[in-house]
Amino acid sequence: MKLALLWLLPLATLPADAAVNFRTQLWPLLAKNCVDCHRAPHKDPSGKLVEPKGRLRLDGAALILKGGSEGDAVVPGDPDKSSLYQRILLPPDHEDVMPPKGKGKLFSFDDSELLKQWIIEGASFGDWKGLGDAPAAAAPKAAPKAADPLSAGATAAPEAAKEAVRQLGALVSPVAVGSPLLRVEWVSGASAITDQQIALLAPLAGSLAELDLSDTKITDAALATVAKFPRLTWLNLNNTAVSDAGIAPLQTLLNLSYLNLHSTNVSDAALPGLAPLRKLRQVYLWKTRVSPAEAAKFAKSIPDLKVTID
Amino acid sequence: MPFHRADEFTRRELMIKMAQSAFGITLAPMIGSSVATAADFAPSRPRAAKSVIFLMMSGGMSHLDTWDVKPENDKVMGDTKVIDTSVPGIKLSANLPKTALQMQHLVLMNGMSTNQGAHEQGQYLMQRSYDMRGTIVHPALGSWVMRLAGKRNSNIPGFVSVSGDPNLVNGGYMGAKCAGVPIGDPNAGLQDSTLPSSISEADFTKRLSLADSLNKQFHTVVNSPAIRDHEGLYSDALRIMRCEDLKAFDLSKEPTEVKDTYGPSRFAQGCLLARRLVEHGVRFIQVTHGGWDTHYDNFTAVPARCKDLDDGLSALLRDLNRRGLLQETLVVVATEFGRTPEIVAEHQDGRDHYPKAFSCVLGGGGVLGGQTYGKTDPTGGKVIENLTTPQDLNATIAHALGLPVDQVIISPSGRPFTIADKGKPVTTLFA
Repeated sequence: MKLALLWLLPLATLPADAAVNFRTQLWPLLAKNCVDCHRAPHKDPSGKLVEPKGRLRLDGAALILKGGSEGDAVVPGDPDKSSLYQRILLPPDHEDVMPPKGKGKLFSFDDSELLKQWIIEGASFGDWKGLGDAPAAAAPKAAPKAADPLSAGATAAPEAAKEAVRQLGALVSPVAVGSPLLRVEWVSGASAITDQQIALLAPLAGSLAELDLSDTKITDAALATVAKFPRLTWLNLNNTAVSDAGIAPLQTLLNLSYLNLHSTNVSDAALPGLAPLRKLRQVYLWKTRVSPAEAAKFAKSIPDLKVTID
Repeated sequence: MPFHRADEFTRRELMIKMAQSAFGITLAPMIGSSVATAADFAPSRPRAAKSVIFLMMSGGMSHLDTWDVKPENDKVMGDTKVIDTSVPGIKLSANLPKTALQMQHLVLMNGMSTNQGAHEQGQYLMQRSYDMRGTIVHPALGSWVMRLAGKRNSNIPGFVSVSGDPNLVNGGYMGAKCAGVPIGDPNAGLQDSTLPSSISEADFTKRLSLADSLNKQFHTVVNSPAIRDHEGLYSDALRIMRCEDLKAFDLSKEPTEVKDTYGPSRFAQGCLLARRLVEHGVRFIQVTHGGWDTHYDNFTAVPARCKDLDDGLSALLRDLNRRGLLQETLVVVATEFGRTPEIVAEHQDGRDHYPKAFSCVLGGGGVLGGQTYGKTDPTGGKVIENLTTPQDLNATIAHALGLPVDQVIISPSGRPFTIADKGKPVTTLFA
């Protein structure tokens, strides 16, 4: 009986199911408690110029989305990453709590929940624009400086192309923070991937740097596509049906430094074809038809190359 | 400074707990889709490690009888002999002959030092980077990894703990969804992840659709994210019961000759399971090896413990390397503290707890193997170079994974925490 009663408890405090209206529900709170410090640069009574605190303005839709010197104030859909929400949640005596002591009134639990819900729902401003000269849509942030020579000139893949690859069950992620280069892998569901799906990776050619095709059902034919990814540094073909014929076209991949061929049909005959790849540093040949003697010979043919056969 | 806040559960946690008690769903919160996936995560540097295998030597591993040998000092070495390794100039205890051949992959952290001399507190600090307190439970290292990097494979748990105390890997204030999923016996696989034999697949489907139709009506009346979350638990549980990734947990899929290279012990088989889980995208696998509390008869007990460690660790390193996985997998051997250089004769030559100096080991994951970091004096009793705290070690693990060491997470109680407290990563260990 106790059990049944407990089930009812949470229902009493459910949030309203209608979407949060920024203009009527949130703007009055911000206007009253936040905007005094977070508004356009202005002169105080003594004539001194006052910049918005933390370079963050909260008096316009575009300005809120733009964020301040500490980064994003609001990340639509993600209250965890929205500092506006995070800072008002801090305990009253915390040095970073917003509004600070003596400025505005601290948010009540209901108000902060409202803000959270609004962010979760996508942070829509509806027809409210507020101040600010910028258009209501946030300007895309400038691409960060390339972290390595390989990224120079790399084109950020179109979102639609990345999404299309994700639809194939792939994990598509940047190789590092701020890098336009991508890693594509099938951590799960690799066995459903055939040559047909690999063809769909072509639109990512300008940014693909790491590709894991291990355990997929690809054949040599897929590697003709892979050979057209000039920025590829890391390629894993372990436990696939690829053979010497498939490896041959890979000699166009001049940036390749890691090549995993373990448990494939590759033999001694494939190795001379890889000699032009001067940046190769690690090649894995366990459970292939490559002989230890040829593997050792191959290792000597490229400086600093390490060949692992067992 | 970016502010993140650990999710509070309140209503949701209550729902999950109710589901647990009412329906016996024990796995579901830990596999919850509410944990971010790796698509949202970018490492701080390219070629960062993707997974960690954390081998916990529980009880306090004697550093002198394993990693930090003193060949010139018979008095502190007792019966333990010293051997050469695959790296000229680095010696190991003769208790680790197979591991000695893999030394080129390893960094011996011989300058470890902690301020905790009791097991529970020492393990807590090693795994959670904060001192134990009555008022809060800090998340385990694996929970931090889940929280900051997310799962790579959304179908199975991202944090798994093999044969250790489940409490050591709980999520603390980050909650059950970031906790380690406990596996008692590596050969038994994931518990409660398949249908009981008394229920046929057809019956199960029928029951599910009945539940669905009942729920549908409920949802039209009460449309709430909290309730939808709860329904998500069912789909998570279903996904794991039916997905092909589940074979990652099944050691019987492994060829006999591979199983044999790891050796028969539960710990070594746990190492093999860890490798399978890494292959399926699990982020953090902890394998616990107990029995290192050698107050009595140290020179019989340590070699026995070392046998299993040596079998499992050496096979794991070799196996990861030939599969091309070692660069992306950080292997850690950790313990809560070391043991006294003094040998206690009246305890059949035992060694007592010694927090002031001990050893941990890193391998793979982008570290430059074949070196030592940190050094103790000729007695093994005092760190004289590159003192490394448990927090520093955890910061180094975080660095290997490309995680932000300075990322602040606010606990539900409003306090700020970071993955390794004030620990500093030893970045010079990496290529």
